[in-house]
Amino acid sequence: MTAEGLGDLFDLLLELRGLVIEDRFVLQSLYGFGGHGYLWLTDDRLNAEQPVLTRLAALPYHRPAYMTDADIVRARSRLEREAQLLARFGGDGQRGLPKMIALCRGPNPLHLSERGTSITQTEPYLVMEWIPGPTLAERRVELASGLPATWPDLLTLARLTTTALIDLSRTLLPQGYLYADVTPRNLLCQELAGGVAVRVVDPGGIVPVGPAQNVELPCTWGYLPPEHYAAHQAGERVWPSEASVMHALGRTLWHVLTGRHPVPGEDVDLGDSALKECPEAIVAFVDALLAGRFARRNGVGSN
Amino acid sequence: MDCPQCRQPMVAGARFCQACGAKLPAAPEALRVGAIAVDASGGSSVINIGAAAPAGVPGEHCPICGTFNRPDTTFRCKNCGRAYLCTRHQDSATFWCAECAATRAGAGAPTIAPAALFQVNYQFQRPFLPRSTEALARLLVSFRSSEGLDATAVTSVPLHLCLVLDVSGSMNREDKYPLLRRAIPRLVEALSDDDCLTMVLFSRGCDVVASVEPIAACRKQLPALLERIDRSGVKFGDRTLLAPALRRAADQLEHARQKMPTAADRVYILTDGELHDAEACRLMNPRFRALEAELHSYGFGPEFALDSMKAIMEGVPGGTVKPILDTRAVMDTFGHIGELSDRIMAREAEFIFTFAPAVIAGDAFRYEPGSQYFGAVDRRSKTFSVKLGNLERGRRYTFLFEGQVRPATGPEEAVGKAELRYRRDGGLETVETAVVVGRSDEPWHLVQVDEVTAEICAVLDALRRDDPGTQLRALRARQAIYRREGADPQLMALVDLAIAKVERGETLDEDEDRGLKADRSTQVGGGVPEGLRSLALSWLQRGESQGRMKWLTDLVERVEQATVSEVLRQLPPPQHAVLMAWLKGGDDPLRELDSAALKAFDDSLS
Repeated sequence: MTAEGLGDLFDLLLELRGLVIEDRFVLQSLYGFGGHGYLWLTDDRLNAEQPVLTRLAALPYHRPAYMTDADIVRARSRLEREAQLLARFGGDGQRGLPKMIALCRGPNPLHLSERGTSITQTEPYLVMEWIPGPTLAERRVELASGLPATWPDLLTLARLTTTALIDLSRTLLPQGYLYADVTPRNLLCQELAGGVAVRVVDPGGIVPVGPAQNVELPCTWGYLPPEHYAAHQAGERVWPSEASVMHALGRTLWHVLTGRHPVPGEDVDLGDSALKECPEAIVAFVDALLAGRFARRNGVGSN
Repeated sequence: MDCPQCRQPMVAGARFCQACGAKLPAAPEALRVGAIAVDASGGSSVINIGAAAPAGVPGEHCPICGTFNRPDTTFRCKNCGRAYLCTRHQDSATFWCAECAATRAGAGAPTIAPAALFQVNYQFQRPFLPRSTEALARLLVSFRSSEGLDATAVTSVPLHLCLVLDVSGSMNREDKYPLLRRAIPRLVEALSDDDCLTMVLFSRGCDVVASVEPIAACRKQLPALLERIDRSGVKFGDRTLLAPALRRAADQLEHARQKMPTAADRVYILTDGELHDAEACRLMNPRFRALEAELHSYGFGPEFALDSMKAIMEGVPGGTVKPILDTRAVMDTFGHIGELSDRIMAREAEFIFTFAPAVIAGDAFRYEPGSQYFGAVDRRSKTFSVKLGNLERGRRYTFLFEGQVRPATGPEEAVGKAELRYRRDGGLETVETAVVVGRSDEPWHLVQVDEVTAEICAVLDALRRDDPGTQLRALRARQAIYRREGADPQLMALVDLAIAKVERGETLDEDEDRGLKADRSTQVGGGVPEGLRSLALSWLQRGESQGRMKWLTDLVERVEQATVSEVLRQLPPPQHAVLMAWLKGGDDPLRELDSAALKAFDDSLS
């Protein structure tokens, strides 16, 4: 975790170190941040052996004049929705999404007292399983550092990624949900005794199948189908589908295999020189994912 | 907008056409109400409440609280005679101002406190903010010497002026060093008898050619001073090393403070190109900050070291970096510097703005002199302060603050307190103003926007955001402001050119970017048309062809009626190239173009 990109916010966030939530969870170190949450590695007083991860709504706390009470309520609602999804679909500590531990409420000293206790004393903290390990994007960089990544390693990573997403989709689809934000940043490589497992870590990517009101669409530009990206740029709200999820998986696998980020709004190049030595069957598989063929014919879960 | 019947221009907010008497439509998005009132343009019995006040409409700051009022919301006290007082200061029993009424109640003679040297005023972009919800308040706080002050009764503070002048090899051109040399007598002439002058030349080395010399002595020995400059061993060296010169200048400041303890001091740096010791210069910044010496710089020509100069002056009082894009203007600029010395009324000034406890502090900016983004005001202390150096008579100092006000219950809310501290004759003086905003949920209150303040906000917004939309809004606001004020023609041309480029999705080149980021030149001129008229005169003197002369005179008329960017869009490519060459260089464009481009230009005229 570095201060890069956080500016003045970084020092402010560090003021949370040592904060005790519900007399049980103690924030210990700032672990990461994303578009919607700041993550803290946390001690659990009931289980000192096993640190957990606490998620706090991402807001510009260092620029308080530029966020309204409505912004705060909206960010908290998003976190609470993620907590509900995690409680419903959370994993068992071995596979799937992280395991949900608690949704706590407590004071947040980053808010100014001018906002009143209804804001300052009611911050939601989502406590969940901590999955140690690099993200898929970081793992890809590690594999390539100093030498070209070997094909067996890359194909293993691609297989694990595909399996993780298909497994999650098998859980979600029957209950009317999709995982819409497939990107190497939301997939984590967990080191296990028997090898590596890829796990989806951000419950914010789960959305209902079919348009729903009051649900903010999660997306990462580079992994959207080009036509969805173009529609977003034009200000349209395009709901993700099974085909777009499979397309995002295809772009993610392309990233894993080539080591490059896909360009938003452009088709990925399967004739890329980095894929020369890739088995043809894998290239054909990625091609099918990108074209949404699996999803259209058989539905996500059946492949 | 014109009258629909006679096509004569309508007066903003008027009910009837002044030319033909036809009934006029309401202004767009305005709520028209009947009332006996006088609007900003005067005389209309119906006002368009909610319509944005046209830029430049008459208005004044209240002499009691400093808030900005349009005339229709003020009264004149019949006892003390002061005008533009806020109606909330009117005593309901006597109809006098609150100060006069209080004196009467105390049975004393009506006395008004003597006008302070400076008055702090303020103006909100939106004079009314919603009462039931939170809102972002944007306010300009400005101050200048009080209007009612008897200028002759206030003596100016003597000045120690320190000039640090670049005489490196790049200055050895007929459009630079000779002009700079000729400007020095103008400066000496313009300074007051009580002032002192220090002059440090720099190139590979540095040379103090005048050390805290009284101006009277400088005037007597002017030829000797110029000779010292001409014969200086550092002249036209192959390096531009400013840091040693800055060190000498700082030494001279300390020396002068011992010699003239009640004098103000001011340092001007003039340089024409990149510095070879930019890092060493940056290291001089703490010393100038500690000295609290006022530091300014001029970029001589378009290739000055803007970023290096800004780094040297960060956090130092003054801190402006102004371009002299047309080097011929240096004489006027030096004359202006000299004249300013007579206007210094106070020194060691500090401006402090403290947000009220219930307001969440946002960002702070300075608009003039020299625009600057200070970032967020400390969220806990809610206090912003800046050292200003010397305060001049007639100069306006303007800051912008943003803060979030919380839901309120009353019709007004305190947003903060502005405080100006300065020294004069050794004593510390303070002027304070409480800043109050209206709170209302009435739609016709909430749509009111002060256009001038909105333009300044748009200009300053571009200091913290660099997306093309924000930059374009800022450029258009600058264009409107500069036109209204009659700014430096080169700068106006640059803004017009930048708008044309940003609209086409192009990026600005390095010189253009530097010119725009620099602080405004103090030079005042007649804009692009005036510059083109000068060009036409020079073409006429050297006997340019009739076709070219006709084209140029037509062009002057066109830019008087439309923006340069609009004219540029209409010109065929060869003529476009000629105008662009002039806008970029400011010199004769026909000398900048090759023979093929000139032929294409002449062909396009026929």
